Amino acid sequence: MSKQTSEALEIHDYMNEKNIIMSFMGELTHQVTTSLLKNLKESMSFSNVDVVTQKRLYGIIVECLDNISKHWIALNIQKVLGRSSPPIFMLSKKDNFYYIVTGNHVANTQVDSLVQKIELVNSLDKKGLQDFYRQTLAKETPMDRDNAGLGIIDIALKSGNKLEYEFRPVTPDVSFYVIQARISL
Amino acid sequence: MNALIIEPSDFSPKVILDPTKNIFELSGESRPENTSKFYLPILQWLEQYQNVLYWEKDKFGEGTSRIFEFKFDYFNSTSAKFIMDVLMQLDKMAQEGYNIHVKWHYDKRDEDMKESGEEFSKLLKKLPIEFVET
Repeated sequence: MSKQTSEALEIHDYMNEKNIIMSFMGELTHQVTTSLLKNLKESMSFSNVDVVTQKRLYGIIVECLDNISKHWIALNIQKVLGRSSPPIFMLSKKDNFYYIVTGNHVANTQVDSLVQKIELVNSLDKKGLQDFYRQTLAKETPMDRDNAGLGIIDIALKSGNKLEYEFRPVTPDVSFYVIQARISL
Repeated sequence: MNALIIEPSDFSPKVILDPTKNIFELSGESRPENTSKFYLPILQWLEQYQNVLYWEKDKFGEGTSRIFEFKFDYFNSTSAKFIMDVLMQLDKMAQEGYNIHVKWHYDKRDEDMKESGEEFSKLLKKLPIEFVET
């Protein structure tokens, strides 16, 4: 057995052990996202998870993948790190929860505003999140539509649980940003 | 005025804006790759339609009922901004006295889709939204 094959087996065992349903590491183009989502939709339709939860899970995953793409576009990782380091997306299931985790590099200059946004969203209950969603929706941001900030509110609303996150410094300019949403089955 | 018809894809909704047949409908899934590129023609079409309605007011009267049907399975947060714009444009027309109303369809198992419609409606001045369970 070659080193590569045993590594593949190790990864496979590890993913099984951690109940990872789906995992992807690489550049998330719209095409890749669409094919991941199609797979997910098909596998969900055969599960016994109720429709609302299926739709919420689907919505969270779309927003998470959209976020990764935005960060990927915003930061030329090859240039800042001198090597390629693609983002990661993982979906797992454990103890009656689905866990959606994404990881990607962000510029350190973005860290504060991301932390503020997540902390604010985590401090709100459902009613607060709905009000915040509506206020953000009403705000006119024609020049910067793709970063309207609705995504993170939408994730929090659909998840019904606090978001967890971590920033791991990589260089003085860049950190690796991991965010996790979970939704009960 | 010409109809605007856009066929659906895995990630963009079906659009029918047909004044001759009096059918106005957005349906399916909305998470286009470039959301503004997808929705701008729709918004421009509606703006133009508002002008047409103004000039043809005498001919057709303001009373003709126009129903805009929204039948989304799913839309992402970026699309939500543009769907809001579409509704705002229709709201403007309603405020000018045209008989326009919206039917917001939702799967009866999907309470979130109904709530999304309710959130939109709170931001509108005059446009009536009827919720239709399917």
